[in-house]
Amino acid sequence: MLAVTARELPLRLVFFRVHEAELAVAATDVEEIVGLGTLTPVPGVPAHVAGVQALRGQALPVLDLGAYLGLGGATDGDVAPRLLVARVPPYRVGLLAHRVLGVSGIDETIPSELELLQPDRLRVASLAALDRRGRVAALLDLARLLEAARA
Amino acid sequence: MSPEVSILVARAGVHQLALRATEVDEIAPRSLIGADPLEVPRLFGLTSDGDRVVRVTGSPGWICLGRELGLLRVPASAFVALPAWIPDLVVPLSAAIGLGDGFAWVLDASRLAAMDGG
Repeated sequence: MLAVTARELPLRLVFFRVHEAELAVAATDVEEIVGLGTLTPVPGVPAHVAGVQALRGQALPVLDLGAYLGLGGATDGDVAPRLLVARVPPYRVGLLAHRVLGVSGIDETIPSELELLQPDRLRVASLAALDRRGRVAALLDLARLLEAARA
Repeated sequence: MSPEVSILVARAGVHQLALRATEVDEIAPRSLIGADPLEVPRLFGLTSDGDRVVRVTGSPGWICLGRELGLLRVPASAFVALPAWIPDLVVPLSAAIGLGDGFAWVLDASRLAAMDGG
């Protein structure tokens, strides 16, 4: 089943990889992409909160999507971890990505069956599954994901 | 130039926990207080091995922040707000302090005092 029609999807998407999973978020939700620096752990929070990183004088919380969504598995050898700095009011969160693949238009993808997305937590956190050059990417519903990961 | 603020800082596992010095009435060796302190590191599952304890203003009880308790002066500008997106905390925090390339966590003294029966 398709969760949304192509007309409801954001026009520009940032594609990135966490382990072997391909993910996407609306480009309008991404303020910037920065390198992964020193992370300070936060006492008493779940493991998917990787810590906070200093970013221009503020403490940016970092969400380990792999840990939260259950995306285990291999990461290719040429990894360059980056943070997608996502702003979904009232939150500003760094999303830990193993590789940023680029920005593409929604017209370069084909909506696919949401049921293709595994594990369950990834499916629940996604707006759509997108077929992109033969690989299925999950378009994340960031507002829902951030609220759920904060609970 | 930013004014300076005195803080008490201790280590709890990999974390650095701090209190504003103006919110602390007393510091004492744990061995002298004759009571069990509130062990802050235990709130997030760590053992507490600090040999000195503090009493925050308005609380009759003692609190152990961790080990290597020390006094530090930092510029007021080093204090930053806690991010809005942080899951519910088991430790009452009020702010973070940028120290080098990491952060110390500032404890909310009034909420700590309430936890300690103050």
